[in-house]
Amino acid sequence: MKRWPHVFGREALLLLMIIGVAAGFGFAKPGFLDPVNFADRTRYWVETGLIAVPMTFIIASGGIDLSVGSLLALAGIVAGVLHTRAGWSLPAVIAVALATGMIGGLLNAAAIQLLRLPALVVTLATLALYRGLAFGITGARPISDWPESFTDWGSTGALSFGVRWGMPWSLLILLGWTAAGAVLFHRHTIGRHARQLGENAGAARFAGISPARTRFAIYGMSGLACGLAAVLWTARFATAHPGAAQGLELDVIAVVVLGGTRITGGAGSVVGTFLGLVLLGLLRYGLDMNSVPQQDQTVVVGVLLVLIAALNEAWAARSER
Amino acid sequence: MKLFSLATALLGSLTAVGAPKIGVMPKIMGIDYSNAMGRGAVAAGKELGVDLVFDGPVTNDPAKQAALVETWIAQKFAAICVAPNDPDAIGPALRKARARGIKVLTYDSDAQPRSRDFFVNQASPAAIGKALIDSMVRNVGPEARYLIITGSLTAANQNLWMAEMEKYRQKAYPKMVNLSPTPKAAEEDSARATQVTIDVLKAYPDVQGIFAITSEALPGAAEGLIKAHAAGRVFLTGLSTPKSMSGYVKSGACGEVILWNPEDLGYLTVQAAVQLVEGRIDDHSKSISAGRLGQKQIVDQQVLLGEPLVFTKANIDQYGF
Repeated sequence: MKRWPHVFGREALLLLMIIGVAAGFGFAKPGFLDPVNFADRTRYWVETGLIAVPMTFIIASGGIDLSVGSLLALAGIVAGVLHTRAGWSLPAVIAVALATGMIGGLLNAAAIQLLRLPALVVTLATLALYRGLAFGITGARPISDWPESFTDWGSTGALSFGVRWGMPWSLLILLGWTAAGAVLFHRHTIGRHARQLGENAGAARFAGISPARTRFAIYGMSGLACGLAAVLWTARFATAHPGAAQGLELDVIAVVVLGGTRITGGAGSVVGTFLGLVLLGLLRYGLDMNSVPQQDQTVVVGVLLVLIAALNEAWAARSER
Repeated sequence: MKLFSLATALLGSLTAVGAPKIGVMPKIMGIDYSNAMGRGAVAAGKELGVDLVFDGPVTNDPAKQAALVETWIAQKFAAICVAPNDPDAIGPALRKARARGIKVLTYDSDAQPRSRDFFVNQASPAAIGKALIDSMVRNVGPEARYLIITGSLTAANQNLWMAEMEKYRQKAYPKMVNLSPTPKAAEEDSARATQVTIDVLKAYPDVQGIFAITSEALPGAAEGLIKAHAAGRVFLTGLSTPKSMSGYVKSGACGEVILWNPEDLGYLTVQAAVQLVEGRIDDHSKSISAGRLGQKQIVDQQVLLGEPLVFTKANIDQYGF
């Protein structure tokens, strides 16, 4: 009989912080809690959130994936080129974007597993490789020729409840993806295998877990998330840009660490990752609404990350005693 | 008595809602050029009694610009002025602003005309292109072999100037040779410009002149020439602020510098924004009375600052920006 693991104490703390931040900023600036503004803002969390789900598995398994931003850009560019230069239909190139992402992810897994190289080294290389391909394919030019129905859906499309505001479709996709990821991580063998791999790779193998299968699954998932994020990103900005999402991997990792997943592997929580996403997103939103300059915001976020990461490690050390 | 004045001060700040909020966003914060435009914008804001916010991303990231525009929309700004890093990626956010009744201006670099009300242009691109080519011809001759170092390959203003340079060159100096039709990108980073320059000198040993057409690329290129012991042998010209280039021009590493007054550009932008909000100018206006700058022309929804200035050893120290 499977139980939800004890890790949820940390989630409660995150939830409390979220409520605190929302209340604090909401009090200071009433526009903060306005549903229309808020719904618009959540669009900016979607790509990070989508990729953060498989990243939770990856980091919990003791690995890392630094190539996600570059893969997002590459998937968008490949789709864009086929759409504008080869005349492929929109549904076809969306499928291509997803496939490109997945192939990129599987390639990472192959290099890690078959070449026996550390994930950090492999994904650092593919970060450069995928980005270089994206720039090379279009000569660094972006692709902006998308149907208006697509870009309208991306920038303002929402499920309307008949009231003034609606829930953006991209947010719904994120929620669905996160829910599926949470179930897979906390209840399914793939989540358990990932965590066990991160805890002790040797012991995991003796326990009958196939590192190859696990890695292909989780890095493939990460690549798929990049492809999906590429579709949403391109729709939102009406542009497939080879330089898109530079630095996204750092945002994703920050959110995963905030959520309580240990950077050294072995423990993690998709629920925590999602809460980390919301917390970081609300924090940045609140600081923006109060016109705190971007340069100062990076300091605030940096300090928060250090505090939470330290707290996570201290907590984990305590529970291990 | 003290309580009364405190209460009125508090009440006063709460009702300062009256002053319209104007947002001015450069391509990137922290560089001299942006700071100069910021100073002009803030000065105009004070003069006209509006609540001016000068903020932008800390990297030349089009996605971060779009996110900040959306924040300003949520904060109900009266007017938003942006220098976009990518004319297409910022489109959806700007159009959303216009749909909500916010006045949208671009300055320094344009977006798609349907995304904005006016573009505040420092000088006509033809004039800038001509000034640059003339500078090279004046110093190297009408058969010069040259190269161009630009900022990012998507920036509309730099692409437009390069197109005008090519148009003018073909007409007036057909014997001039562009050794690399694809320009080299320095991404608003002077250190990268230095490296690019050193690489260029190695790859094209017969180059006689270099154009570095962004405010960060030109000092970087000058450094590159000095490091490669080519200063004075290879002619350097481009667009940057006289203050940052003064040392290089006096030492001979850079021959001439071309610019306009970025403080005036910032000032004119805010003047145009406020007058648009107050209805003093509209889509049919052919000129604007821009405070301390006097009358400026409006052509094709573009507000023109004037003609570019050429700075040489003789006059480079006369300017405060």
